[in-house]
Amino acid sequence: MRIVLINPPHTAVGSRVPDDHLPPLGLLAIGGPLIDAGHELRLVDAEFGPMPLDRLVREALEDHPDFVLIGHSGSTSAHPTALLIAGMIKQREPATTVIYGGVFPTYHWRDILAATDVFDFIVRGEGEATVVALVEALEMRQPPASVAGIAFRDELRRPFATQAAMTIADLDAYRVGWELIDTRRYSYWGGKRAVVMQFSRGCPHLCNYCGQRGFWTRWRHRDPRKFAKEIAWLHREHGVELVNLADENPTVSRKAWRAFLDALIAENVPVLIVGSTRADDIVRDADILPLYRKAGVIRWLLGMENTDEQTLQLIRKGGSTSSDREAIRLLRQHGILSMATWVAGFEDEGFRDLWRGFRQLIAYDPDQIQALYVTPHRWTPFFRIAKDRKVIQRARGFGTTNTRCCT
Amino acid sequence: MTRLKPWMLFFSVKLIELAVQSRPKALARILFHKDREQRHSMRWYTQMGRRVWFREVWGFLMRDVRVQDGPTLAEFWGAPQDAEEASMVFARRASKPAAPALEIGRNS
Repeated sequence: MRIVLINPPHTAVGSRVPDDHLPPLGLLAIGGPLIDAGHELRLVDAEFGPMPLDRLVREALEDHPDFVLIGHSGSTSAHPTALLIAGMIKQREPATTVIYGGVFPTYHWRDILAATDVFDFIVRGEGEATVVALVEALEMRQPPASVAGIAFRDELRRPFATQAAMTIADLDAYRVGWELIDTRRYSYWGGKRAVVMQFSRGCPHLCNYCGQRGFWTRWRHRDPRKFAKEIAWLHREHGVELVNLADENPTVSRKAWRAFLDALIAENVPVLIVGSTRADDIVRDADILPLYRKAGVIRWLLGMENTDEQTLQLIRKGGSTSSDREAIRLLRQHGILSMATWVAGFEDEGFRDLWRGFRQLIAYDPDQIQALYVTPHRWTPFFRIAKDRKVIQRARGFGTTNTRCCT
Repeated sequence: MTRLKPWMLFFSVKLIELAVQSRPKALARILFHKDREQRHSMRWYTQMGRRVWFREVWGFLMRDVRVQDGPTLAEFWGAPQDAEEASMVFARRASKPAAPALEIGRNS
């Protein structure tokens, strides 16, 4: 079958401001298994430019594909754009099957399928096995209801979801379709040739605001040696200089992470690594931090979220302000930059709370900070705490209002 | 939030960003970090942060439209969905089959 993967142009400030663009890992991750299943694949990456939607749809439909797959890593804010693209595709080629996937559609499938008929199927959860099974079922004219992990409209046009899919037990069983991109076009960190990769998926911690943990359902990791080998291959064959780890928490298992560091050091490739992790893990690994740096780690984003112990308890962060501060100190000692995230809106803050947060941040002394406003995703326990707050801002594309944090 | 108006919270957070990143210690790391690679990192990230900061402030003042009496979050997104938080069913990795026991010496 002819299949086109579409990476929509993201309107969020974080995507539009940098001159660099990273490859759409999620689409490449489902692209590899689809190629291996014998399908003909193409990627249209509209983040470059960004590409006008009209041209994007023209390019996507130029060889009359059987399936168009749409997904974006910033799935909530990209939804309005994905909706527009799917509508344009259906208008020009109504027979093309449009499949939509990602975190936001995984949970909002009922609302999406009830509100529009531009998406034929929604893939719920990780897509590697599900999308291959779905395409095969449709090709063989089998009922899609036999495929686990999807949603669609039934004969009565009602949104219907099949049973939940199983998590992928062996992440190395599915390869990333690197051949779908020209790595020379992708960069990060100020022009360094770069890719996004995942050593692990999910997180064992119970932070109640996290919109990712439930999506991946359980923390799993790749084979450390195979992962290091793939990074080395990307450097030697494609000149990749930097890997941005998309993991929620790659360092959960000290044993697995240590095995990865050792394997990457043995590969002896000058690849830089940036990613996110938890301060507790950095403190735990104080004795092996020289290996982190030797393997190429140059920056960790530390999701400390707040500097108030009570707030950390409310959001079930499971960390402590003392480990946050210690992690920053240790990283600096070993030549690794720290970027602290600090989030407003978990509680009904006043000026005094913000002042205290500011003083704490100064005391932590991180190299960089990201100050954010909490996003209350509907599928997270934090939503239950925040559900009665008022929405204060209308947004483009969502019809009525936005998720900008509330009054 | 009931204790602060949206603009108060927004500008307080922007001010915190500005103040933390403009400390002499932070500026010294951007300008004079002893590691050349990390100096590049600091400068690049600061440049991105500066662009985002101005764009967000401009967006808040000039583009974004706020409503006085908007719906509640639950009215907007729907009822809490935390019971469905796990999107998949956890599949345990199949354990490796045990190596067949070698029977040595039976036929010798």
